[in-house]
Amino acid sequence: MAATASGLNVENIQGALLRGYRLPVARYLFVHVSAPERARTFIGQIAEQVSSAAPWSQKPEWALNAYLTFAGLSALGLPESALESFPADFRDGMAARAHMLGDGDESAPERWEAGLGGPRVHLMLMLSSADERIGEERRRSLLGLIERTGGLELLSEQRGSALAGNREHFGYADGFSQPPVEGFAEDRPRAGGGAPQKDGGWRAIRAGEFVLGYPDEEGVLPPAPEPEALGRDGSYLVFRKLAQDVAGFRAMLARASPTYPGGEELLAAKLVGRFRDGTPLDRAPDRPDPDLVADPDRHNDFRYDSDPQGLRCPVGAHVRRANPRESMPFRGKLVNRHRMLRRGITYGPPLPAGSPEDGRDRGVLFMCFQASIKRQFEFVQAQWFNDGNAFRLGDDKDVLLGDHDGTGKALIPGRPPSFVHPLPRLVTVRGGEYLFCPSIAALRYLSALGGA
Amino acid sequence: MANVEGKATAITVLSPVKPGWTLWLRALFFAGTHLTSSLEKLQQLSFIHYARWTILERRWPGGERLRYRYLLFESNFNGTWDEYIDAFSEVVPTRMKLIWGSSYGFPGPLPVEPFKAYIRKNEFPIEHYYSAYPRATTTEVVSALEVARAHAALSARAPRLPAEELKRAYEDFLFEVQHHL
Amino acid sequence: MSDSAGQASALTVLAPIEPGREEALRSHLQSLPSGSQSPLARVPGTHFARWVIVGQLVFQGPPQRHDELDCAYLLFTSNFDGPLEPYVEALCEKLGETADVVWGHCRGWPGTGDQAGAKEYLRRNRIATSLFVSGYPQATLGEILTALELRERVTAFAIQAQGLGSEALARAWQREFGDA
Repeated sequence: MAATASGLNVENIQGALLRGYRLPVARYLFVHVSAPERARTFIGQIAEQVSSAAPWSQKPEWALNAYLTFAGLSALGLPESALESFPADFRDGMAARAHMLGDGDESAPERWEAGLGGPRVHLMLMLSSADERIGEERRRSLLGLIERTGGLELLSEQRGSALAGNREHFGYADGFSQPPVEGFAEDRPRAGGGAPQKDGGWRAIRAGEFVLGYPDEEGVLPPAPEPEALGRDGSYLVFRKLAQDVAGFRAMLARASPTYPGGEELLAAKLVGRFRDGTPLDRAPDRPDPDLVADPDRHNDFRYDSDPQGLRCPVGAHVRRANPRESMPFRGKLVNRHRMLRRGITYGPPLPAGSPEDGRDRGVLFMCFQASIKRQFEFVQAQWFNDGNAFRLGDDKDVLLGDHDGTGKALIPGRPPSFVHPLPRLVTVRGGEYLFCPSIAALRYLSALGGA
Repeated sequence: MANVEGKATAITVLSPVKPGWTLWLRALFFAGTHLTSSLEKLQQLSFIHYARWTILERRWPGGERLRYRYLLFESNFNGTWDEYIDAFSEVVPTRMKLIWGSSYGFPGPLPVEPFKAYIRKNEFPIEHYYSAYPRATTTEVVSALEVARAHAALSARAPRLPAEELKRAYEDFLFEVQHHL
Repeated sequence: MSDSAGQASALTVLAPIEPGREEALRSHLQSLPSGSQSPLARVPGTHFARWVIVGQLVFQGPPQRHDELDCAYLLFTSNFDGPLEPYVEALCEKLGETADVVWGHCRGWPGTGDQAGAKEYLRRNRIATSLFVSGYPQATLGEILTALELRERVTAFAIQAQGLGSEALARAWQREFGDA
């Protein structure tokens, strides 16, 4: 039963789900509910301020979004029958699923920052803003509301700020590949975005892969919590604070480059699948191509189908693992149901080139939206990043995100092939949450629980 | 979990075959055995170590006589149970329909959630599972065999080669097996 | 019938469990050591094997009618290097005590003291396979284990040997792989 692409109920869907705001400052407030009735009042007021996915006439200077953990839904007084309709992955929470995600050793939940991932985290409020001043203003306003309402406790905060040039801390330009969502008018399907078609074109991914209440890639509605007022137009959010060892990364590159014939920048590109400026290796395997990068119709237009050996872009390269496109047999059928909408932001000051490790905390506040945490985020994390078997790479983990213990290797195909070994841990999980992203109507529904 | 040994997972499913369908099933299996092309897609799903379908007759060992014949499916595979059933459902749904369509209660291979529910309902837990190479996935085994083959060829030549030539031969060898390392 | 694909063969044995002994058997099977300590590791040529207890049949709902088992059954399946006869012999000989403890819970098991009887029991209770798909038909267990180990050595060697000149490489190769 194929579903026709109907428009999405954008006024009801929270904006961050469908839209990458590109607001360079972000604040995340983690809140605990101690008095349900007060908290419900708060939610009701928040619902009026939360940014939806309705079209902007003009880009706003700030946006607010609100998400709840399973513990949070329970704390608000959601009845047992509704609570039971949520899937096991969300109910368990990220910390309880550490073994599946490879969050061990330094990344283990026992070592996470206080205020992240524990059972007291109920609510995550995300404030995105155009600059620090506006961000601070909105934050104060929100904290004021929290205090005046009462019954809520601020557990912790995280701050994100975009780096210059849209880069992340290892130096790579990011954000080229986001699946366009079918039915969302603002998503202009560009070459390379979405699912590859037989005729060489691309199509948007079915909305139900990301938003509950719409048909997914199977043509059916994804399992959603009940009642409908609660589940519809909602989604699941994965939030994960990932600290990056920039000095360690640079040292690894410096150690491995002498034996790599192409030099350090090419090696850096081979590990990720793009040069640092974003040039995709599959399209330009030898050197960065600024014109290609600047052209949104070309910088993501590749499939890997003519490079099964990975001689241009290694099969284990980061972006190829994240989205194998036509590397997988059966033309995308094994890929289309494992996409995510990524909405994260970097945090912490950059480490200047040539500087030694300064002990500052830096990395990315990773966020992604999907209809099924298990099938999308967890699957990619466990099967495509922390393992290599899906790509015939045995045990080999992703160089950047892998849960490395110093024994792993990365193989760069070539004549002859090159090896990077050992692979140090470059990313450490400092904490994370599985959250429900209710629609605006669902926020109102929650505020009205208990007959208030 | 008793049905996991290292990287290998085992699945055992028993389902009742609708009367009159057995002949069709046997013909299907016969065709499958003798037409390798129809098995290709299944083999391309490289994470299957082994997969077997067996028809249990109505008379079971010991003499008991049952109302129906049963289809026994067992497999050893890598990756998660969900991924495995997802792949069967997405990649070979017709084949799944042909095989399990003859069993009572089969909801069809697509969409996948009811298919998974059916398998789960008819799956038996494993009391003891053994794998001789739990640390190796199917693709690793295939790769290892390739490496062994190419290595044997190089090893045979190596003693006779001067250093320069050995280096070239070694680099050719590495290029040939790089995807298997 | 196809009980083999290339060198890989399959064996399925279904045996009725003595009434009242299902739980004891289950408990015993679950307590068997796993991995290389599994009793099945003693049977040469075994790639994968399992013991499953079929306690009751699952009712699918109308139009199917209820189908009940008079007793529980022990299902044993194995994927091994063929042919069948030597493997059945090896099962009875090498499993020894374990075979008696496991199949001893089943009706009619003569005990490994009677090797001929034990083999006959397994043969009699054998079910033939219909369709067999194998990931790699062409290798014995020994070949697979040897190849897996060699692959690790080759990878380690390739990492160490990066950038070596031809003389050094030749020496390193001789050291690692000479005198095969």
